[in-house]
Amino acid sequence: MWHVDATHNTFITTGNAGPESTTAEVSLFYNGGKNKYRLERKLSPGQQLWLDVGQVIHDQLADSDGQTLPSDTMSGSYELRDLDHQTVGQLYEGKLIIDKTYGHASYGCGTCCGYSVPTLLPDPFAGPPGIDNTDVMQSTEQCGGELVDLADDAYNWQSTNTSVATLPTKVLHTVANGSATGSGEVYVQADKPAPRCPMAYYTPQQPVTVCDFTVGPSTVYAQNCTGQSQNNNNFSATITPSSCLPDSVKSKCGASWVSGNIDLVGSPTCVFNLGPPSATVTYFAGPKLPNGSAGTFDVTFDLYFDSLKADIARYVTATSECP
Amino acid sequence: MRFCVVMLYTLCVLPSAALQQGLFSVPIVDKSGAGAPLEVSGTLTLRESLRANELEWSWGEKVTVKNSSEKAILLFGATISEVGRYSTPEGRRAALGSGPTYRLEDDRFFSETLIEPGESLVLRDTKPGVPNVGCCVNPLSETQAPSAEYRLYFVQFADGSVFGDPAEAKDSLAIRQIILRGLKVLLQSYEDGGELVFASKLNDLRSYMIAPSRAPKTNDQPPFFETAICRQILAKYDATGAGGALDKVREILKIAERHSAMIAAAPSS
Repeated sequence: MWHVDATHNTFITTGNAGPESTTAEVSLFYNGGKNKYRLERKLSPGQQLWLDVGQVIHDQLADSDGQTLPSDTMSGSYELRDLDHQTVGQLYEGKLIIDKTYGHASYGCGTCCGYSVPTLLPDPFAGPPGIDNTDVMQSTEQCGGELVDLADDAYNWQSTNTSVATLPTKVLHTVANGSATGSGEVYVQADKPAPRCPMAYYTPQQPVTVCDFTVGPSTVYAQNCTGQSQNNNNFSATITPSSCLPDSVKSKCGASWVSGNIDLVGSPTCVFNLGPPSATVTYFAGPKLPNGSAGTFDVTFDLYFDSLKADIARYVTATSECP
Repeated sequence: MRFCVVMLYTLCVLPSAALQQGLFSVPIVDKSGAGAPLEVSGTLTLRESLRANELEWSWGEKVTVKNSSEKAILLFGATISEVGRYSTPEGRRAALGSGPTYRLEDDRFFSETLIEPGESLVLRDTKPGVPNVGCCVNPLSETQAPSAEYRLYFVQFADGSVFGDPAEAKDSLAIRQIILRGLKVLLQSYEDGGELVFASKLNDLRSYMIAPSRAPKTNDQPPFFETAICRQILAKYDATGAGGALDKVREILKIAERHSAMIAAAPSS
């Protein structure tokens, strides 16, 4: 991996350790591995090549094909090849990354530093509709063993069900309840088979579940609208998809008057058992309004989903029809 | 007198300003009666604010129960009720400021893990959230201390003995039977037509769950497709296919049969 920005620079070096001249090729990959900057040099025995990547970018130095590295490029992978000795190369390699902030320098040499098969995180993802989540394409860089995020180098982002969630970039957007699978593609040096580290395409996948629910019914029937005796109506939450299980310990329900001649008797009874979350609302209704109902009230469920580590609140405005 | 003057001044000049805001810690009182095998502990929180005569309130609960008996518990039902500080306003039938009554029934009939002697479990774990808003209370009226009550109304032990009246847990006992029937129908579909028919049944259940109006009419309340056990089986089906779901059905039925046998062996009392 090479890294160049305001506080980092990278030097890539190679030298010919063989008894005869050879052609060294240094390739800098960028833009998710889709583009490369290629430098070819003939090296005599004992001769070295130093590539100051920061200078290449800053001074817009053309490569062997006349291409330059875009000035906003900051990181990528690289490859070193002995073009004249394909199977047993004569080249030795070194890399120096300088961190100007603290004066640190890290070295890499002699081995390739490929990436393990990445995972797209969170894996799995679960969330409510209408949120954005920045995914991480996590891989382990085999030289340092550190976890790296390859998401900025990935491309071909997609979702198998865009009515549930979209993944046009590394930002996952949830749309509506259901299930989908998100994926992105990245082209980097693999960590196997060591020590060759051939370039490889990885397409990690991410199961996505978007949980939501509705509250019903929206029309209930009062037993009487005389205003003299209590009415009871039951409401419940319909949760989809099936993998979304609410945690009753952290869930709530409530009811509130909206319009008309409805007098709620306190707060509802919230019922949590092996059935769906439900609520019984007790109220006095009446007298009857011209439209035949006694009025309306809201019933709200605030359900907590462990898989989301969050709650979702939904309500229904119920009309109480008089007999 | 001075207090009243200040309050009225605020009411007239700053009608939208919060006159009073309060956070009340409310101890939970056990009303279960003697011999109740699940001891309760915890505190409820009431958050209130009063703007003119409009009350905003929200409750949170931290409640734990502990099996203080010497027997494992299969099913229990308990209520938690929350009573606010204000009396019923004139012309209304209910006081503002009270929280919901939670009716919590935990049935382990289909679960491998029972509530063992000495074991504790969290019954409620919430904080005050989006407030309820109600009108109107008299800000100058006397208030009472908020209160919270816990009542354990039924326990079925793994050995079949009970605490309380089974009639009070009739909903959970009915759901148990609905689930048992649903599981047996699923298993029968496999035995009649193999994995294809079984998968088709699961797909039907899923479509009913998404659109309950498509489901055949039944007296079961709730219908099988709305139960937590059916959701677990459908989730397994989505994750592992029909084979995994079939294993899950068999596993749950096996547990249920074991618990049925334990209950049946109980001496009639």
